[in-house]
Amino acid sequence: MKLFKYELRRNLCNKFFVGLLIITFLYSYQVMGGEIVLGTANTAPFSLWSFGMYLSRMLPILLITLLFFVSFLYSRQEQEVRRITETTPMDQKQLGLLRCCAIMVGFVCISVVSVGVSLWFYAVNFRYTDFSHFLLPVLLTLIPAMLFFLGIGVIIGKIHPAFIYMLMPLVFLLGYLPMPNALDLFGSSFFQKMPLSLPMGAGGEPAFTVPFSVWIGKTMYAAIGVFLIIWGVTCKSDKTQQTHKVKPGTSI
Amino acid sequence: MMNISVQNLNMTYPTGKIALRDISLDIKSPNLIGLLGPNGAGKSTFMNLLTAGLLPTGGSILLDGEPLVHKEKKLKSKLGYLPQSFGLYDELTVWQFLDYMAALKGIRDNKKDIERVIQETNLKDKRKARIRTLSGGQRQRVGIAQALLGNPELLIFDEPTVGLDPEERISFRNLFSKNAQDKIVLLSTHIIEDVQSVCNRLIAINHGKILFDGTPEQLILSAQGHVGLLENQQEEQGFKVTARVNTANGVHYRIVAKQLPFGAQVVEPTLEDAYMYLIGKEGDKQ
Repeated sequence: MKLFKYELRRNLCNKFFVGLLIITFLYSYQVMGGEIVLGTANTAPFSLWSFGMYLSRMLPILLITLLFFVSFLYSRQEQEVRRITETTPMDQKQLGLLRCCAIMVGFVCISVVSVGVSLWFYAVNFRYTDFSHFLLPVLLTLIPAMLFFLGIGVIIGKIHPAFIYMLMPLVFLLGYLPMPNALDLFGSSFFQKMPLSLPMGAGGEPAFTVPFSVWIGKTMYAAIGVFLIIWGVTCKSDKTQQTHKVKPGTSI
Repeated sequence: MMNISVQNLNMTYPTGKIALRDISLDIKSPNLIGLLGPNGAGKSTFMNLLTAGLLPTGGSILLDGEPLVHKEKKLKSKLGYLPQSFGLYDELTVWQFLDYMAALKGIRDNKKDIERVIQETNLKDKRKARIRTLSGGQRQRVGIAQALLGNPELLIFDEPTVGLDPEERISFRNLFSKNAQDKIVLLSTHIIEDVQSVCNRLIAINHGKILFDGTPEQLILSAQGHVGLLENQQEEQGFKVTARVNTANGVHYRIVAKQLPFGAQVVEPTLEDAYMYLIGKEGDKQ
């Protein structure tokens, strides 16, 4: 628990996180006020479709924060500290998993800020406070993307830490790429187009339904992510291949 | 009691560089061993192998009679290690970093232990300071402090006195000596003064081979008759100048040689002379 506390603290108490927190806060407000306030696909701004759309717009910035956390695992400082920490009896695989858990909690923390801004916006502008239904789009949008990109980040960071930074702009591009519903990790196409194909419900707008193919797609993304995380954390580096200098990205 | 047995140890890096050749030795507690050798001699590789940070390409290391490769966890639970170059988490305070390291080492009563190592490494004033604010010497002391956490049976220090001022170096030498009363302390350095006064055993290593394994007295004895003083420097042939002293009667040169030149006055060797003689002798062979 103590180690987890320190890992989380190292993720959250730094200038990158504070900067991204401010950017997330401002961007959240801008997306809510500029785009979501009009509603998505002829639905209310506080419909699950609009809220889902909001989350898909926020995902790139949240995932960039996540990738920043992953980059800490492969930083120069981390490689140098590892010379000491690797000589302790602590299982390095356990420590790696613990660090991934700390990254996930860090991601949840910044996501809470983003979701919090939206809830505040709904409450202030629309007097809408029935937030219990929002859990489904949150889980559907944030969790698979978090696991998938954490797994990708852990693996590519192992190959070379610079790849993590190269992935960051790609995350933004992926957010705007039109995708079939089943493969739409960010969900922007799904939340925009799906309501238009559904019949009107009792409230004058299509009911929020998630097709089976979308569930399968999200589950696959999450499963691939979990597999990559475990693989990245547990695969051993060959000690006979090491040299005096610790190579960047040998293991986490 | 801990017993480490190194048998025909070889290490060749993937680049083809041979770092260690056929090293064999036994290390038992209590012992304070000085590992001497010039830069690139193979000291750090040897220490990396002893801490299971590398796997040898030949030979074996036995920990209490069992191969180290199968006893890595046991070794690490008894190990305190200070690498030659290392990093610290700059964003943490000294106390927090030691608390973090104590958690990694699985130390239960960590508060008392952290206080002890802070006291021993003279970091009391800096316990709440962020690591990024520390000087090089203070960072080195934090490195030594983390190695001492948990009172480990095997302490390995790779160039521990780098960046420390003379007063601190003396204090740490004494600390290492105190720790060696009931455990193994392995001290790698190329600063002879660091090992001269405290080590009961010296191992000199160069080009990956052990050149000497014995007491400091034995090393000094091996150089007897090979250290001399010259009043006027002759052309430097067959000897090595270890010191140049300006006196009222001109410049005196302290030299080591397999055969002292004519006119050289034989003097008692110091450990540094003996070490220079040993390394020079090896150089001549090559």
